Amino acid sequence: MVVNNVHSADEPMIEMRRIHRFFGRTKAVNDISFDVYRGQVFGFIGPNGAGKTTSMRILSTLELPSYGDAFVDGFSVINDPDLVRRRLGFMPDGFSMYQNMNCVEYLDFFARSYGLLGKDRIAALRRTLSFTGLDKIASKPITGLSKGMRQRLCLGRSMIHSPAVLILDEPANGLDPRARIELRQMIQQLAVEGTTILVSSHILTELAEMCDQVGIIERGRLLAVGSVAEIRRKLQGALRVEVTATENGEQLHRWLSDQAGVSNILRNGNALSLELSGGAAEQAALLKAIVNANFSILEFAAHRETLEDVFMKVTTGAIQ
Amino acid sequence: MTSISTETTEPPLLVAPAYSPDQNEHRAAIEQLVEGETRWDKRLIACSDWINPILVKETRQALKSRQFSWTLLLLTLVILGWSVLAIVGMIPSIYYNSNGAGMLIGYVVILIVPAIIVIPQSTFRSMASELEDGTFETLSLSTLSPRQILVGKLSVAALQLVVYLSVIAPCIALTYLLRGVTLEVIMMTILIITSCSLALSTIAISVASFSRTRMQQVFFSIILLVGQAICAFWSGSILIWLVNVGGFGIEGWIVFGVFLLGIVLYGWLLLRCGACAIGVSSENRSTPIRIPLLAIGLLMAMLEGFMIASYGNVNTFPPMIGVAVTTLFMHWGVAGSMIMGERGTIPARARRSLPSTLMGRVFLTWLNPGAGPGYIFVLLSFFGSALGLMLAPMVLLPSSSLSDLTSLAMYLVALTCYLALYLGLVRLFCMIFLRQVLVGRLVLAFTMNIVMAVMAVVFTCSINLAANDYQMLSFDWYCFPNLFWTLGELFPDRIGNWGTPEEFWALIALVLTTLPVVFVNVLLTAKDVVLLRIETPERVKEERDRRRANQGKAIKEDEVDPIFG
Repeated sequence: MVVNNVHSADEPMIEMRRIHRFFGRTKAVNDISFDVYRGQVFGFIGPNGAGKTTSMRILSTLELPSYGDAFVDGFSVINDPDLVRRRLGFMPDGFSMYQNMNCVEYLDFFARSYGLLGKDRIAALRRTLSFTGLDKIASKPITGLSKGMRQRLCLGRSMIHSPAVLILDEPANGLDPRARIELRQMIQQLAVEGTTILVSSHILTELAEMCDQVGIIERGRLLAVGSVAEIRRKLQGALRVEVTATENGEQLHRWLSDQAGVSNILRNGNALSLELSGGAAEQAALLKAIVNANFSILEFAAHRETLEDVFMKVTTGAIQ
Repeated sequence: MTSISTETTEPPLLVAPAYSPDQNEHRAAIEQLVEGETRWDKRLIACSDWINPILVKETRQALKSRQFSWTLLLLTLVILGWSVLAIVGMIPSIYYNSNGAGMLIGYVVILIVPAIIVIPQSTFRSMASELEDGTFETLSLSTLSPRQILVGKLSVAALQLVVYLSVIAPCIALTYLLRGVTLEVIMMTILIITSCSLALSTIAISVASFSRTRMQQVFFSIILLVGQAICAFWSGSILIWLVNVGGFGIEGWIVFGVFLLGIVLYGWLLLRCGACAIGVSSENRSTPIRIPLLAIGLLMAMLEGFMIASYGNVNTFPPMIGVAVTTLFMHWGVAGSMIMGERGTIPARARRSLPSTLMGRVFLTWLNPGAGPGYIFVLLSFFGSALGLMLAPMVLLPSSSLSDLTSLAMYLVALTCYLALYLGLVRLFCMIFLRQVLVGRLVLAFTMNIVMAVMAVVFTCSINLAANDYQMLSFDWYCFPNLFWTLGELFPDRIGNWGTPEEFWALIALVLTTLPVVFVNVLLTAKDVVLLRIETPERVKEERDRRRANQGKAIKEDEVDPIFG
């Protein structure tokens, strides 16, 4: 797939610059800035009403910001929306379809609407139908499609013109596990092919698996941006490590109490839980020291915070 | 895996066919749609690349829709029924009498229902449902321009009309064979129905573009339906009269030509307004609307000038010119009161296309967005065209002199002053009271103007009645805020009339009241005039050049030409 893009690879494909959006007194989006580079998948996380959809709509040129500007492939969403739209595919949260049409007619219409003519249109249709797996139900009326198939069709419509940037608002919403996994694979495949993807979802485990970066948003403010590991590292003061010995749990407890960087040790028989300051190097050094001290270790595991843990730590659950 | 025997499983009747698990059906559907089966299919698909995509989509949808199928079926049945009934009823006189007219009237009445009622309503629903269902957002993100979307949907209305006309065409041909109807009458009948249907569809699609909420859609739909009913009644009456009379000669064609010109021009304006309503908010939405407004104003003046020159004489010139400038006043008054609702901020994108040369700044600044330039634009446009009309007698009547034009001049001054006063006040009120209002400003400004005019009528009439002991209304100079009364008094009924002293002093009072309002408005417009053009970023220019090079000389759909759209 050739991604429709003229921007150099080292410049961001999506730039949000101090975006504000007010609805009366409500600050739906309040000073949001971040960059997403080519081929990256950026996950937008936040509770309902946090401002994810508004931000995505601003980026998709469907809404104007009250202040600030956003750029797609270097073009302003305010001043050059026509150029932005050529580079953009948007899959909204709630989508509605045309009546009296089948899948291939629907995609054909959007291919035409994006100015694809002749062989280009035929190629785009074939590619999209095959990529989304819709070729198996191409002549089926849209109204008879399942939710998963509709999502696929919607994704197909968003990517028919090979956009450089795809914005997917809750694409996995209401999908069964299989459909969700397949959708995730499609998104990853698109990213590999060079498409920059901004995706929002409530299913955090899924985002953690496919996103290069995430942005956590609440009450219109961006609370944290970066890779999941980076955010976790920033939030995590000390690492919790679980150590299980085959015997001498009490001796190990005492020994660990004397070690530098170890604190808050909890013991349950031969199973111990402790907090270790530092990162991977300190973990390795501690494990080596335990083994050298001739303790018989059954398990040594650092408890990694999931994206859900991070999300819960960062957000307060407040609504506006 | 279960196997299905093809011998035993016959699909039941009246049940939608189940989709075969065999993928060949779907593959065939793709092949058929994408590449076509026959040579004709391939050619048609190749042609369809150059047709507006909306037309392709809507045609596909329409041909499968129940509404279209039922309308077509009913139309066919009713036509058939009428044909049979009428012919049976006319036998045996059908062989020697001219019975075509009666038959044609029946067909006209039948055709009016789909053409004037069904098609505009379906056009309205087509656009309204896009906005209501949220499909418009995905559509607007494509490279289709708002104009293409509206024109595409309008083309579908025309296509439906062609289908309905093609159904009725053989029957109309039959009426000609039955004698009593001329080709001219048949042509005029079809032209009138077609133009009414397309005019109503244009209104419908433009109105649908404005109505974003469900309530607005219901409201406008009802208004449209009432308008359609009135139009159906009047066009039906005119057509029945036309068929009975057997044509209305050259004058009729001239009137029809004027009517058609009006439909085309106001249709152009309405489509522009609709396109602006669904377009990008940061776009310059004013200039594309002001250009058709100006064109309509000028054409109206020219047409009225032509009518005056053709049919006027020494006695009829003043009232004819009076009526002509009044229609211009109404055109610019309605347009101007909406323009006064425009916000005074020009988006950065619009500033890229501001005039930069001296001549451009002198003549084109008034087309820029904002109520300030709009105020000057309306006043200059009205005054220029009205002055041209007023001076027509000087050219047409060799004996006339400037003194003969006194009454006309007074009337023109009064009209210009009212335009300047009312619009100026509305603009100032908008600046004060609608500062925070972003939506519906144009309608609010228009309403404000109406309220002001009504208040002026009530106020002046009350004072006048009180001054005359509640006995009678008698015009006096202080009644000048009442534009209807004052203009009625000043209306030029003959050449060279200074009017009564009350009329004269009312005009003086009007001028003196208007001058400060104009002064304040012109002063406030200065900030809009001094705005300078900002340079288009290099990268944007490069991108546009690159696309232009890729597309050859083709005009880009999204690059809106301010004049031709």
